[in-house]
Amino acid sequence: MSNENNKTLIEVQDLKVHFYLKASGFFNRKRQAVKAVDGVTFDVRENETFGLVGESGCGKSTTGRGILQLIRPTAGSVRFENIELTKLGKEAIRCMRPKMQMIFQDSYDSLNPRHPIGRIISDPLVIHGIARRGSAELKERVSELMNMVCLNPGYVNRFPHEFSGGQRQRIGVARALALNPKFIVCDESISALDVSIQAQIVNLLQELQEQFGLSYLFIAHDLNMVRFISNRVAVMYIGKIMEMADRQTLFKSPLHPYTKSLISAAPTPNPKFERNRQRIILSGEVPSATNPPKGCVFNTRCPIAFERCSQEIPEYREVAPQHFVACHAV
Amino acid sequence: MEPLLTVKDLSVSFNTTDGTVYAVNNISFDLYPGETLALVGESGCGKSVTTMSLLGLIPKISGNNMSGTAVFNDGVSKKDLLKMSEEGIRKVRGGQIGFVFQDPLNSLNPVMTIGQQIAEPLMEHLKIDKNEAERRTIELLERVHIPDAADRIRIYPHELSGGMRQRVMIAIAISCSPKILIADEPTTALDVTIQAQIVDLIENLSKELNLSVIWITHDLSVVAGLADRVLVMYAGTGIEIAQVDELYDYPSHPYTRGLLGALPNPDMESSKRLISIPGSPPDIYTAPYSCVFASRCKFAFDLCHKELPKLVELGNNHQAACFIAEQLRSEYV
Repeated sequence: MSNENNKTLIEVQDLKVHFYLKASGFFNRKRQAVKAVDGVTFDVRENETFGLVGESGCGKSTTGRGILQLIRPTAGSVRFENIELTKLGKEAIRCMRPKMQMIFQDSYDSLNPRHPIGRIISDPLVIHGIARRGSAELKERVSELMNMVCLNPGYVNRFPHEFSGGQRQRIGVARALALNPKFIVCDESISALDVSIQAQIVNLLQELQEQFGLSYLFIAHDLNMVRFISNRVAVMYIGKIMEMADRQTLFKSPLHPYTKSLISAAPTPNPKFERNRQRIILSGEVPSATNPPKGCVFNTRCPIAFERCSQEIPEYREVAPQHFVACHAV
Repeated sequence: MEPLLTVKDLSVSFNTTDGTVYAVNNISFDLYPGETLALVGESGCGKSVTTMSLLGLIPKISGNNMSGTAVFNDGVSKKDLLKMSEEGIRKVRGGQIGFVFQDPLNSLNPVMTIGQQIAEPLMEHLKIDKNEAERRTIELLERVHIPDAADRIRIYPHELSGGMRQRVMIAIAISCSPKILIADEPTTALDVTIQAQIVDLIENLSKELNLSVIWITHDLSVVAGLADRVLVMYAGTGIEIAQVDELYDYPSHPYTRGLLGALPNPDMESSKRLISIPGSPPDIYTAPYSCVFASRCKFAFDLCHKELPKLVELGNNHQAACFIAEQLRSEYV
């Protein structure tokens, strides 16, 4: 697939997405902020799959939406082919949308149940003025798209509920592909599917990537799948990136204690290996993003935390070429 | 060693307005003392219905059809769980057989404190008084590693996180010193690091208490390290059963192979493709008369579409329901 020489497609610099809670009380006007994404920096290259992993609530989906400007970031910059997206107005963003699309987790909630799938797949083309509704050209494009994702074009007038979960996810993929995007955010796109169907969708995504030179931001919590599909991977924890590297480095020689424990906690289908492996089992649970720990956000669960960790936020720095870590102990 | 539980030819079907749903068809397995048996399969394969029928949770009303036997040997007497009265099964369920379900928020009562919910089965099954029950409740919460147990008994389920709720479910399940623990996807809704905590907890408890565990999951990775034997189910049918190493080393049913192939191996190059199984599971409105997997199977031939394959012994207590299982197994050797 891709290599290091590929051009940068998306550059995310110190991206912050904060949500503000309602102020409690009349005199207490200071609003509490949920720092869902708090300063993440990475780039996605052309024809690359960039994996983003982390536990629920760590801000990985918000990062994806922040990049697409579905949620306007609080601070930081997102450059798509050197165009600064955060500075663009609503109309200008709309003109950028064809190049960046999204495939959602829940194909049931993300497809309009009242529309036949032909309408769902053709909507982006009509909205962006590429084809008129009802035109022969549009019909042709829809069947082409359906063929691409291995759906029978004869089903064009059926409704989402008539399809299985895997097929519905294919509809979501076809819709995302309609405008020939360069970049697709896959937000837990396979998490809700059965194992055998997951493999079908992953294979489809990889084939399409080769065919059209797509870039993916692949957001997931299944480490084995992320390891398989990604070129580079970033690990998030409470709104911050803990570690980022190419997949071989990240999985073979992780440096951050959180990455290490995540990898050791992810089971593999290998009984002999599983029985003998030493798991690093983290105590406690993910703290809330409303009130994140002082210093390093991971210090409350970290097996090797020392005094400095609870006082000073570790710098996110490049410890080896293309290997970034935020930890005092590294 | 005599099995603790012997399930033979268990079939469950439901008459619905759309037709009869054949949820479970002739499932047989044994569960030995101290053993962990994994039931693995994709959604709708009948793994939960199997255990619900063992717990007497399938209402005995017309339209629900159940046949077969499930003999539970508690050391004193043998009784068929499927034929027991509602009164009788209540003594077993939550007593000698504990259970943990996937979604602890839906399984716990939102308007009762967790202390009350743990004490309830204690008072019901062990006939102990309130004070004694409270003392044991605190002990149980400590046992499942809930900090500040003495204070926590007064809080409600919504005040706890998902992992903590699952710990409460486990405390309830082991409260009456059961012989069997049925764990139905206990870690599926949890994050990876919390999943590891819960797996670790159940594994340790089963060793300490010499529990037999039936672990239901769709994920062959989760049970790789903790199961002794694995039963793979597809469309309500048991298609392969073996010791865990034997099954992962020599999967002999095409479906099991497909399931294992669909999981990315850590050392796999991403230029490779996952082995996917084409199509999707069949609907189960007809009782199986031919191989249930034939329509998706790349090895299928005439016979597979005509006749129902039986489980055949392949040696090493490894059985698979496939006409070419022996050939498939020998390919691996």
